[in-house]
Amino acid sequence: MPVIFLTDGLIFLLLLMVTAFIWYARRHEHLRVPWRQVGRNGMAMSAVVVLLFYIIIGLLDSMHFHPRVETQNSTESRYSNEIISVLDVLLKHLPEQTEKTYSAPFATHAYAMETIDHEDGTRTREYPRLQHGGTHLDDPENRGQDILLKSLPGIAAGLLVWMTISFMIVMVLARNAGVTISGQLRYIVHRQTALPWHTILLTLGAVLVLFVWAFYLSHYYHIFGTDKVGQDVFYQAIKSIRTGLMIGTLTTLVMLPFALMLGVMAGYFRGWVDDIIQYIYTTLNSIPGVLLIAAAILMLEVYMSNHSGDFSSNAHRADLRLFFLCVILGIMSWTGLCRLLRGETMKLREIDYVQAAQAFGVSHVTIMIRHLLPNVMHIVMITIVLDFSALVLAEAVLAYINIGVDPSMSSWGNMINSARLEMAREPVVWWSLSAAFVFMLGLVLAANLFADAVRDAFDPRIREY
Amino acid sequence: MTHLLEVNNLTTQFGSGERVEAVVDNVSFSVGQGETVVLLGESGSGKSITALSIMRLLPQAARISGGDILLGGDSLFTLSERAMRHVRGGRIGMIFQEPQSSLNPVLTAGQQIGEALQQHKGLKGRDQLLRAVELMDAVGIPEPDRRVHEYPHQFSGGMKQRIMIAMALAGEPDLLIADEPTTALDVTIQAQVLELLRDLQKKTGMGILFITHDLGVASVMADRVAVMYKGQIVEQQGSDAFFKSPEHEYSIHLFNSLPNRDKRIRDEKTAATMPDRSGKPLLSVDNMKVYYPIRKGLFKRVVGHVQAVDDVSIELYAGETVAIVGESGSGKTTMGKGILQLLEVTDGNIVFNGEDLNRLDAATLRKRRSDMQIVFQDPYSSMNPRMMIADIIEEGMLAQGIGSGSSDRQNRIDKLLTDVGMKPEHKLRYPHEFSGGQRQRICIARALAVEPKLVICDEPTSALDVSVQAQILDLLNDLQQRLGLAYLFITHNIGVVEYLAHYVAVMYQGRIVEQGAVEDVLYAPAHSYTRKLLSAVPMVRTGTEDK
Repeated sequence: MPVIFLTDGLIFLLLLMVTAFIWYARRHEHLRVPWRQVGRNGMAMSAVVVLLFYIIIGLLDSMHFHPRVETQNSTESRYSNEIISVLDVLLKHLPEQTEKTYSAPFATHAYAMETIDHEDGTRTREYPRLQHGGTHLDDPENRGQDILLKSLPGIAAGLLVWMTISFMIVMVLARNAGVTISGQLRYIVHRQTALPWHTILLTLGAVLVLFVWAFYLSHYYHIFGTDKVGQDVFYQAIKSIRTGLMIGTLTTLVMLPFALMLGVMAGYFRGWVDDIIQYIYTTLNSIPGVLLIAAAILMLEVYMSNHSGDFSSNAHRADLRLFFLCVILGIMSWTGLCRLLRGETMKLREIDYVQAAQAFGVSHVTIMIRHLLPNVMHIVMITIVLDFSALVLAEAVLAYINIGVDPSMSSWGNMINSARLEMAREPVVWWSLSAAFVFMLGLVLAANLFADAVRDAFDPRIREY
Repeated sequence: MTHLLEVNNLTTQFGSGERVEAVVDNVSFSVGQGETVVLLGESGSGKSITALSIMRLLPQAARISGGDILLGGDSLFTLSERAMRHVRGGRIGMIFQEPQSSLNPVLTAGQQIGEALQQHKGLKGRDQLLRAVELMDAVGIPEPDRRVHEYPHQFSGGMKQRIMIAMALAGEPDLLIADEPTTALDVTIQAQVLELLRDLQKKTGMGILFITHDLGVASVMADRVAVMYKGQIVEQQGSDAFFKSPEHEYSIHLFNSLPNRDKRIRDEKTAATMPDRSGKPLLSVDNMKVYYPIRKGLFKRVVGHVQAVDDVSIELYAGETVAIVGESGSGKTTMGKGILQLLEVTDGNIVFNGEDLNRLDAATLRKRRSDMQIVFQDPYSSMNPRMMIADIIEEGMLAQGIGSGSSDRQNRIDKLLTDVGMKPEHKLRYPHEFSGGQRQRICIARALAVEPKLVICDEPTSALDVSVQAQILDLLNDLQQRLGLAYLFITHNIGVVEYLAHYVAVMYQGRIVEQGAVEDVLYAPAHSYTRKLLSAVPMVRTGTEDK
């Protein structure tokens, strides 16, 4: 039985909007040209592949449902109370493999000593074997060799998946171009295609091999170790992807209407309209952001504890909190874009084509939509992609001071927050922090590289024509 | 005789690999001591790149691929970059077109001249200041002792150009390269700057390489003229011979494109037939005022007004052209936009077809807008770059409800484009795919789409080359005769007035100082400002006049 969380609905709405925009952009030369320039940039396209990988995982993790429970009476179907996502089904083994507490990456023994009662009545202090990590090994001494051996089928499977997908891509490309598959392959290898398919396929290969290898090994080992309550860190890091993406994109969805409408209106009408809008955003800007977010989250918590009956599950509560965090971040962050748009609109409203439209008696709304909005779009585009990585990082900062997403929800911020204590103990538990760091770095770096390419393509000062 | 500057077979290319384009193609000329050579050509002919090649200041995409440049016998291309720095500003001074952007706004005039003095003359401290004052005095800046400490924004455009000249002269160069130094200036200021340059040349004996697109300016300045066309020098002559009998067909074409009274008579356009001025005027403006309040203090109290347009009255009849002439800041554009109600008019009656536009409510005014249209100066900013030509032209029709349906409007667009000399298939393109002249044609088509009776032309040809300007003026003339349009033609170019207008009004500081028939005002000016303006216009000494 499917369950649609608020954020799930919104993220798919956003997906729909992006699809509609792509369809719209394909028919408009002035939008198609800069995007084509982005498409020709090899670095940007590798970044897109990495981003797509994150996005697919995030979307899979946004399709929630109550799983069916097997009963004796098979005519009637029953559903569990638990809510899981499609991603959970794919990674089913991971949440089940919990240990007692910390264990290092690829470990076979726990990270902490335990007192063990032997059958003969003696007691010893030793590192116990893990219940799931490396249990297939008779002799833990062979671990290194075993990892290598297990890596081979993992990598082979990754290569196989890569080749299958690549083959399908090449086939489609060949058909579109009207050449043979081997001919298309030759073009790609010799880098003679319009899009840098050579780079795209290589990046795809690297990402797929790495992921399939990790996925395969995660059946036998905790490849990123386990946390304090014995949960697999690799699983947490993957589940965090959805949270990061939500914060990065939904916030934009919230702030965009404010920024666009108010910014363009302030710049176009000037006078008292401008005064009021300016007043609002200078006031909003002068309130410390963290303070406002903390206040909003605390208020929400009070509300939720007073109305605990309204929420059917903890997951719903956590989701509402995530949504509110996006809203409040959105309200905090529209001012920057609004200010940029106001300035640009003020410049544009004096330009001749706007005056010409006024001389035709075109209405204000039409002028704003037809003449002003399309001509400030490059600023919107640049700001959105630049803001994305900043917001993903902001989540981590907020979680660190405990006003981020719900503690029960996996997020890189929460992982880093818990690492505060882990780093202070001896011996140090470093893998939670590292895993969060590696996953976040992958996303933010890809987003930044992509943002750079978008800015280069859209900024009229850099662009020619 | 050895020349000061000798350019031999200079070739400068843009791009690399297969897409090489020679912007300067095998150009040779020389400049002697105390001589002024004018490099004449339209935009894109390679004049500026020639100058930059001499200075070795080319943009990154360009490179010199052949030829040699000798300055007083030394080859400039063999010098090291270090030695070249002493040549720039030291032996060759350069002034640019845009004085606003050539000066650093955070340094005083004295500091900027001083920088050149220190670099090339090693002057420091008090000596430097004294010399800067001396130079400012030499370029005719009043009160140089005081103004040496002022910042660029405190100087007017003409004064800024004088400071640029002072900087160029600081190194006491043998050769001065002036790249369109007066294009951004008003005619009266232009006349002063040109005179200053000639005076300075007489005193110092330097050679001047003067780059311009303006035949009039060339005629005033040149000892010798070199005409550039598509990267090549097509004709090189002594000034007198050139203006008497240009040889190359391109030069002759340039002379023929020049709008003036001769051309009007030659083309038999509008000519002597003055339109009928009986009956009711189409537009009559009475005592129009546009004031901008000056606000000061905490409560933004109004302490005074900028009188952009002050008490202006003018009449316009159907089918005639009235030109508004004036220098920048005289209020002519403000007046045009005020008549169209594109900005708020403080006071006065603007009666169009019997209705006072100033008193109409917004909805009625919106309907009346189809009767009056405007064509702007800059063809690059007057069309939304995000819209196709068809949508641009259709916009006015949609807003005014003209045309019975989409297909009818498309047919009208096709016809309009044909009328202005474009092709119907152009309508599916974007503005950036067209040249300046073509864009101006599209703008005219856009204005005509709503079937106006009056078109306000706000310097529609100022951003265009002479030959393109001639085509656009031709088109406007043609359309007037076919459609009976009235034009309010705003311009600073006296030649255009002579060629196109029936009546003319001269504006100065927001007021109309003189108006009347073109013949009367231009050939027997009554007001002192009109006389000053007319005498400042550089006249081309054509062969016909001499006879």
